[in-house]
Amino acid sequence: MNTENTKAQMRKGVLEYCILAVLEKERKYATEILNHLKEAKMIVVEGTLYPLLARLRTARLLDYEWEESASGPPRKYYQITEEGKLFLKELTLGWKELQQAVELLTKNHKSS
Amino acid sequence: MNTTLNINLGGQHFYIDQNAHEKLHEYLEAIKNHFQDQDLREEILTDIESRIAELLNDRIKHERQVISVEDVAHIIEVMGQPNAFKMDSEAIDEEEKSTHKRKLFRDPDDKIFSGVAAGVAHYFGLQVKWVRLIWLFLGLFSWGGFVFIYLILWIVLSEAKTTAEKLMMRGEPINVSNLEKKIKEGIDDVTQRVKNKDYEATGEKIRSKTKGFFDGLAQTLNKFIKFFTQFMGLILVLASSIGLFGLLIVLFTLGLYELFNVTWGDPFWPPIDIVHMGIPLWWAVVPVLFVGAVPIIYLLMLGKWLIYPKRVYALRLHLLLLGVWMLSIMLTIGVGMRYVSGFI
Repeated sequence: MNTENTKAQMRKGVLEYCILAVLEKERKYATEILNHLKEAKMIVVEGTLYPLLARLRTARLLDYEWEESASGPPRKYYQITEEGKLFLKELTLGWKELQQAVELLTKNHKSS
Repeated sequence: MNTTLNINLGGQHFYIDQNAHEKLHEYLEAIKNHFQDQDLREEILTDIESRIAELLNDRIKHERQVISVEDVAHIIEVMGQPNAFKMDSEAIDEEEKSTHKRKLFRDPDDKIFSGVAAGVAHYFGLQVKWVRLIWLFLGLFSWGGFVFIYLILWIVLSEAKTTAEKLMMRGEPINVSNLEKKIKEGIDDVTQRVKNKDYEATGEKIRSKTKGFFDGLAQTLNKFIKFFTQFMGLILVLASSIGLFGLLIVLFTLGLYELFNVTWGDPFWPPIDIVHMGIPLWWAVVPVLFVGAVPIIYLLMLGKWLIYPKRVYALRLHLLLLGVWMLSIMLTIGVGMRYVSGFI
């Protein structure tokens, strides 16, 4: 067992949640999403994002539309769907529960 | 000197070095191979291509700059290897395993004669019984030629004795199909969760199951065909290598005769009395050997191509080989005419 792998697994588990969260307020194109995720050190290599986006889209949690950009070719803007918003709400709850559970467990066992 | 190509990537135009192009193409193919679901693959690939175009645009300073191998290497580093795209929890364990390179060994735990068949089966991720069946089939229809190859493999391959060697021998079956399965499972999973809310759930479940069965069948068939072509390639490479080696030995032996000026004591050797034709032995022998060698070289290349279909030989090489071959044929005819005219 090495810690890097375990950490990577933890991150991967919540990556979908993070992508939906990043898109909650406004639509973004892939590079913007990447910048957010990289800034937060949620992903290491960029390729990871694309299968997830495709997966979320086929699950109808995300949607996209093409838009002309001032510099270069048209961009594909991703936005969250109504279904996605519901999904995100549930995930937020789930995440909070998990956070509390972990906090509770680690605190109790540290102090004893 | 290197050729420069024009490519269209993500709707943008780039100049790219030939080697860099090859590398980029390989990388995109590797990604493509990871996703067998058609629609999803197209979508992922288009997205990745436009991202790569964007990254390249950031890197080049002016419009006519040629993209180099270093640029592509940088891109691959940023985007990551396709097997790092895996999303499931088992993915990371698999990554660890696949760092062990697969190697061909003889399997002492599952052998009839020597474990060659079992070793080959592990190498290609197939069941041993199929490999044995193919060996038997080929052995019978090649008048024992394959027995010879079997013996060579027996001699060349070492037995997997230690645990590490056994792990290496088994390695991982071709990862592509594994990964594709994983991703598909993942997608079905998400769709399932969403769809479960309505009554379509059961229908969806049945549908995804039958789909899974046929995909599995197609995969097995695909794997089998792939194995068979690679196997034929291996046989061709082995056989033609032996042929070329044989020719080289003939050449070498004759060369030694010539060098040490051995007199031909035996009246029946050499079978053709070239020595008295007044031309050096080399002149007579080398073209004849080349007439035989060029087709064998082509068989060798065909075998290699079956194993690595991506390698395509340059036109120059073909022209050279063809030229040498024609020249040799003409020389052989010339030598033959001279020989015949010697009798008249």
